[in-house]
Amino acid sequence: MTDGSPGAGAADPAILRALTTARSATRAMSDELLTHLPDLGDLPTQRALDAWVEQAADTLRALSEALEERLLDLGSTRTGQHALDDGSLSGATGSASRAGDHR
Amino acid sequence: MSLSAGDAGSTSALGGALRTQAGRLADLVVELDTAARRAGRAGSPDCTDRERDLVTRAATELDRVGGLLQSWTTTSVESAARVRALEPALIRCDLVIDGHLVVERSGPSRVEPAERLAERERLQELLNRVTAVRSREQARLRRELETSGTTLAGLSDRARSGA
Repeated sequence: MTDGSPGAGAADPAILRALTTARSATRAMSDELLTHLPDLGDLPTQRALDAWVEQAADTLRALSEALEERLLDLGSTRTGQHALDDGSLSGATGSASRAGDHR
Repeated sequence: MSLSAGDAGSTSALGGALRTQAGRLADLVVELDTAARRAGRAGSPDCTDRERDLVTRAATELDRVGGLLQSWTTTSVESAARVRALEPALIRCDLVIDGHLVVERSGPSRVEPAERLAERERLQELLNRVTAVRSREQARLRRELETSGTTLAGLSDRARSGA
């Protein structure tokens, strides 16, 4: 799904850090959303809300995946470095063996 | 006393959490945007515009639904308070609320039948106003949730398809 434009300098360290932070944050938000158990007191509305929460959590996961794809895409254009979960850059060479969890 | 109000606290908590998450997503967009601008000044192409757009749209939906849930919480608490306010009159006339109806409490009553009937009709009218507001807000909330869910599903598809 990578449609990026990996030109020279595309893997700017600040961009990699921002992508790494966003990827982790959206994933965490998805998990956090599913911990909520709201009670609306009306079954049809409750079902609508439950379905919405599931969808919102899925969307946040999808965002995390998209950010990860972009990170991999950019990382593969940058030799010698790739982003770790803390936003720093490692000294690995070549392709973007990415940081953090693979989903 | 019925007319289930659910748990306003849990609904409000979710609404607040969604608005906080929306704010966090907006911050992430700013971080990505700032980094992209800086890279752009160095001659690099903007490589995260699609991701920023997706995150921005998701933030909008989370903020909107968070606000709706908080608004619903207010409606729910106010409705419960209005129903509670009927309680002294209900007790005085040996009446109870069953679902959305004011009915006579089972067993004998010392209340004058005509007075009891009149009070029952008056309280039913007041209860109808409360339930009408609640029903209207519930229907609006359901519609908004369905619309937002469709939007979010589209964002999920876009994010996963790379479109």
